[in-house]
Amino acid sequence: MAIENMSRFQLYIFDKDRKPLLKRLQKFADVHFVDVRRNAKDDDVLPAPDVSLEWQQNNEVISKVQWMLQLLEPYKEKPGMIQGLKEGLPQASLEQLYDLQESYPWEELYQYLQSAHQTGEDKKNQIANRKQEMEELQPVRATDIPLEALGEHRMTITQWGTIQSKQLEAFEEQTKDEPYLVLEKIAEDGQTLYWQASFLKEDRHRQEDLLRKAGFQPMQVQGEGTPADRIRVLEEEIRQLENDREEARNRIKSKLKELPELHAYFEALQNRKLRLETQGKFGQTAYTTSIEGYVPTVEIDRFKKAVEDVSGQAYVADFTDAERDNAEVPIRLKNNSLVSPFESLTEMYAMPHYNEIDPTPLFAPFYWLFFGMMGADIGYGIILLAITFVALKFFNLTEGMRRFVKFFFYLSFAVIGWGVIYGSFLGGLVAMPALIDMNKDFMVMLILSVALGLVHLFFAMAIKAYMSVRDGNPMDAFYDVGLWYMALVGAILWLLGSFLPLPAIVGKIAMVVMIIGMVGIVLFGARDSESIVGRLVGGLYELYGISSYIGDFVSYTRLMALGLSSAFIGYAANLIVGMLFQAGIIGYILGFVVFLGFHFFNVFLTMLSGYVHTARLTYVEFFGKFYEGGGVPFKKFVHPSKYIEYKTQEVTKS
Amino acid sequence: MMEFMTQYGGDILAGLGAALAVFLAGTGSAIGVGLAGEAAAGIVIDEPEKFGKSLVLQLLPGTQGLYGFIIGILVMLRLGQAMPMEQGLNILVACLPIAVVGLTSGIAQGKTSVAGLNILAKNEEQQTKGIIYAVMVETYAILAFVMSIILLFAV
Repeated sequence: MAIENMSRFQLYIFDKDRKPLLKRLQKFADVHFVDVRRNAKDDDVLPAPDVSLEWQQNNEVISKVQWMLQLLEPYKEKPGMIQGLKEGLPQASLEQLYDLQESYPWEELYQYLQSAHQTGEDKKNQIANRKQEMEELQPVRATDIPLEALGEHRMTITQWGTIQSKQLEAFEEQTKDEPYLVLEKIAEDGQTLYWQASFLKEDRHRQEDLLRKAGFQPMQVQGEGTPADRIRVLEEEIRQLENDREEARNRIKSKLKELPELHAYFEALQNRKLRLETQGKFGQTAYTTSIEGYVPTVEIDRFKKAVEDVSGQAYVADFTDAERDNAEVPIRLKNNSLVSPFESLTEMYAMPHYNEIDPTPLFAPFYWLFFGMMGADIGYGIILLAITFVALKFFNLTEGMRRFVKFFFYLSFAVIGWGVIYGSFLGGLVAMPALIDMNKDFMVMLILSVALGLVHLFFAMAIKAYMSVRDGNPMDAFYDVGLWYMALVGAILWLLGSFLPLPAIVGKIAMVVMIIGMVGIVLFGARDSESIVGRLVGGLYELYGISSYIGDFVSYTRLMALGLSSAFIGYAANLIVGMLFQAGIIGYILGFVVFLGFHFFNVFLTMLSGYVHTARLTYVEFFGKFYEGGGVPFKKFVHPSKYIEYKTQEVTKS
Repeated sequence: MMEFMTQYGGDILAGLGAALAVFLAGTGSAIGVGLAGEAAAGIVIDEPEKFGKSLVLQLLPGTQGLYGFIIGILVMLRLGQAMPMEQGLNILVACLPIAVVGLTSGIAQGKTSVAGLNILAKNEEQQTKGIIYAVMVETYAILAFVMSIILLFAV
């Protein structure tokens, strides 16, 4: 349906063409490679071309370029958010990237930046050292003893050091019997006392030991002049160093203009990495290379042309339609522009297998409807519509973002539509006529939710039946879906008969249909089982599955619950604002702030809940009935770019 | 005493319901948001650019408190009209779903958000899935909230 048809190819080329061909195929992009050895036994394996050295070198350059980017990025002036969105990413063609890959003088830049960075770091450390020294000198800055007095002299040694004031008594006690130890207090800073100690050089070890034990901790200071002089010198040096550091920074900054090219170079290297890693899937003989993979069937001609551009006629290519039941076939979804924004939900769950069905167009209308029911406010819908419209119209978005915004653009109409049905405008701020009144008609909403759920589930089962018929097993469709329809419809009508004044005959027929359906499920539910007993037990277990249907129906009450909760949050906001407005001018201002804040938050919350809960109904209730998934996503042969946008005309045309 | 109860009893019971809805659901949210906030702070240390995304996950357990608050306001509007005992009791009961489920689901959602923040820390592309897990817990808070509203309007 909407899974793109794939063809498997086996391609043999001369080995000399291998690298140019990869470059050419990267421009073509729509090719998905598989390993030629994936099914091979131990013997008869072709080795892959050995590119490990190149790969390793390439990775080293990548990590260096990454380092440069990290260094430069913080200096970049960021454009405003709106400005940035308007401009989008710069464009580059793959051809430009290949040229850059050969010619970009990254090593020069790397050395320049590294030296500038190193200088900056050195200066930073030197500044830190000086600041620490200054801190140490600060308490003794009032002394006029020059620092030259410290250290070793001809006969004596002089040191400065600290003593805690509570240890002072013990210190004096322990040092009082030393005739050749001269002590003098030079400064005081809170609990810390600064003393100068002089002693004979020949008695050094004993005196130092004694001082240490008495609680004297020597300071590491040196230099010329008094401490105050030294601090002045240090201050001057720090100023100088700061200048140097600034200069180093400016040197880095001066290379900011390289950033766009560096970004492009980074992408070029990433693409090279992809090419190198892809070669690991190839098989190599002395002169040829064998390649296997998949291309979309409609692209075969363009693929051949791309190969011919490089190899001329010197190649052998064999195309076969992809096997339907082969799990390795890569999956690409193909839908019209109305449905394709919903593909991201399928991708998030799991890609279909090649023999399944693309569920996107099937669940999209329900998703749209359910999301609207959960949002259900004209005002909120208009807000969503306005934001997404502006984004689509004026911003230069990446492909993925554009798809995401478009998704909400479509959904906003559903939100407005249900808002009209519920008569809700910004949580009841503007009185509207309502088809269904949220304040009274809870039961109507509840029944509507479950009824929509019923349609949703029955549709999912119908898809399962369709798939069985398509695959040539119409009886499976009857056993697995038809019987369930009978059991469920019968049960529902039978139950309704006891509430509604239906003619008695309807209830009777319904009961009979239900029983036939249930017996059928017991008999055929486990028809693959080998023994009769196993088949019946399995069938009973299948029938027990009816309890999960009850859970499924109840699950759809969230359609009502989310609609109500968002409406009542909005209602409460309006209520508070109304109260504030009674408090005069300040009340008006406060009320306005509360109004904006509350409703903005509610829009966000409503859209988030709507997104997630509708996804849940899709994944659990809807997909649970027919969808398996687990296919391999088709990977384009081009690195998903982070910094640039590929110029597409080259990628799509040949 | 009897006279006092007949005159004010309804209002007192209804007020108690409003208080329960606000403070139990609020407590649940506070614990949940707190848990998630601690984990988020751990991520932002190394990767400050993830602040915005971590905020979404931190915010999710905050809604229970909001639901309780709204029920509280809806009850408040009815107070002060010499409500009969019976009606007051009905309102008190109407407040219980969001009060109790708000407390428990707020805490549970907080824990799920922490797990989601782990996804954000280690594998940023997959973080949407962490949000989905956390919002799943929200289902039960919403169901309780809606049941409280329906009961309240039925009184």
